[in-house]
Amino acid sequence: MLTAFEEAIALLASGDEMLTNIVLVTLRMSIASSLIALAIGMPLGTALAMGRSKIASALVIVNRTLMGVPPVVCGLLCYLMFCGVGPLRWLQLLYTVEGMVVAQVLLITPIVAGNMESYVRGLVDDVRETARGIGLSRVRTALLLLGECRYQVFTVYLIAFGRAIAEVGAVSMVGGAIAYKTNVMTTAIMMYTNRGDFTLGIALGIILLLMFLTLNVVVSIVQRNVAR
Amino acid sequence: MRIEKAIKRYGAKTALDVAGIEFPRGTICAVMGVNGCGKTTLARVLAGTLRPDEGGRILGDGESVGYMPQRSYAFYGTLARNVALGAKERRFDDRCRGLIKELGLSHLEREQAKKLSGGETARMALARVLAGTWTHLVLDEPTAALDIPSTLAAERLMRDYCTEENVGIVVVTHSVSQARRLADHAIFMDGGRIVEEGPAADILSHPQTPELSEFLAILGS
Ligand SMILES: Nc1ncnc2c1ncn2[C@@H]1O[C@H](COP(=O)(O)OP(=O)(O)OP(=O)(O)O)[C@@H](O)[C@H]1O
Ligand SMILES: [Mg+2]
Repeated sequence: MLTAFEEAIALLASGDEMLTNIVLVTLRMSIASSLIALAIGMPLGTALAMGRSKIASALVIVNRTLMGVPPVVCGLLCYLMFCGVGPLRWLQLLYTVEGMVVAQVLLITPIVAGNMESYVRGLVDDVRETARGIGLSRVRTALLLLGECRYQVFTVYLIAFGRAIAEVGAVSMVGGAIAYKTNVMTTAIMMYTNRGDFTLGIALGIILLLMFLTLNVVVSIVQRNVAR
Repeated sequence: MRIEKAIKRYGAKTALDVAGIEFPRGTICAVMGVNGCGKTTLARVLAGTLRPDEGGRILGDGESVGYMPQRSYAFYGTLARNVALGAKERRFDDRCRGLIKELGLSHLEREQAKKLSGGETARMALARVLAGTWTHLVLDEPTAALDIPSTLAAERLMRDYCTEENVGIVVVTHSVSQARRLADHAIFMDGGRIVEEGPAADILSHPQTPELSEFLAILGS
């Protein structure tokens, strides 16, 4: 066990080509999917919190349900859509990073929207009453409301990125964990562990944690400056 | 601006049940009554932010209503940006500058609004709504958090705004002395209903109903 750990450190220090590739694919996939999910989920969540109709409350329930969809189910769905006989096969997304991003966005967007929705709900009455009182338009009110969430955006992004980088089920089904193409850190850890090769798995685990730690430090610094 | 009828219920409780009130331009109307009697509910209906179950406010041609909620909200950004939101073109113009000077906020112009004290935030919110051009203003306890000099300054501003721009002001207040100083007309509410109304000087000195008599007696005024 300890030797596997030492070997992992040595592997990291050597800048192994395979390892580097896995990390890069992971970053590309996670950054893209978390940013897209943020871009869609934030206005969606804000809209859900602002809506007062029965339809809006029904959509909130639908969204909360989607927040709990197991990743493998989402992966299965995407697989069925993208595979050789699937209705979306012409998109040619199966076993590509883009396909993985689609699956991740489907998984993460409801989580972003749900987080925004519950946060915005706590603000919306005061903001709306104040904005209406000085004659601001609906659009302007919505924009102000989004602006009031500037602190929360970072928290939500961390959740989204954390999900994207840590997730296995959906990306392995859609991406297929193809070496030098769609193999990301989590799928690689599973693969190498199954083969009994713990060294690469541990090395990847260390990088995964360090990357997320770095992101957290950066975000908390930015957050402190923005939310003054 | 007037209300022919307005009823608002929350479950089994009737928060508001009023009829036949008129708010002419160029006058100040004080709304008084104990906690929970329905003042804010009335203010919200007048401001158009709450739709009653029955009836509602009726606006005349070209009438517009500005509203300062009971709880003042500060948006991100400086005090100046917050006040500018209420102004024409959303720009921090001379009018805004004059208002924050009157309210003793000039030295805080560049401060982050979220960092202001409770009373400073309330003064900012008052400046923000006064920065607009309205035919009517609804102010829900605008001076509740203010010290005495600021209260008097705020009253002066309300008076000037009312007479100079012919604006009808509805001001919710717990201060009988403020109502006496400021208001032309007074409404006394209890349990969502208007119990007594009339010229402020009259009803606050010679109440006609036992409810208002009792309310004034407790104050010892
Ligand atoms: N959103 C709501 N849901 C349920 N009940 C409400 C709601 N808003 C107000 N009420 C009830 O309606 C009644 C009138 O409330 P309102 O806020 O108008 O009182 P108020 O006269 O402004 O009191 P205060 O002097 O404390 O500001 C209260 O009994 C309150 O509990
Ligand atoms: Mg109130």
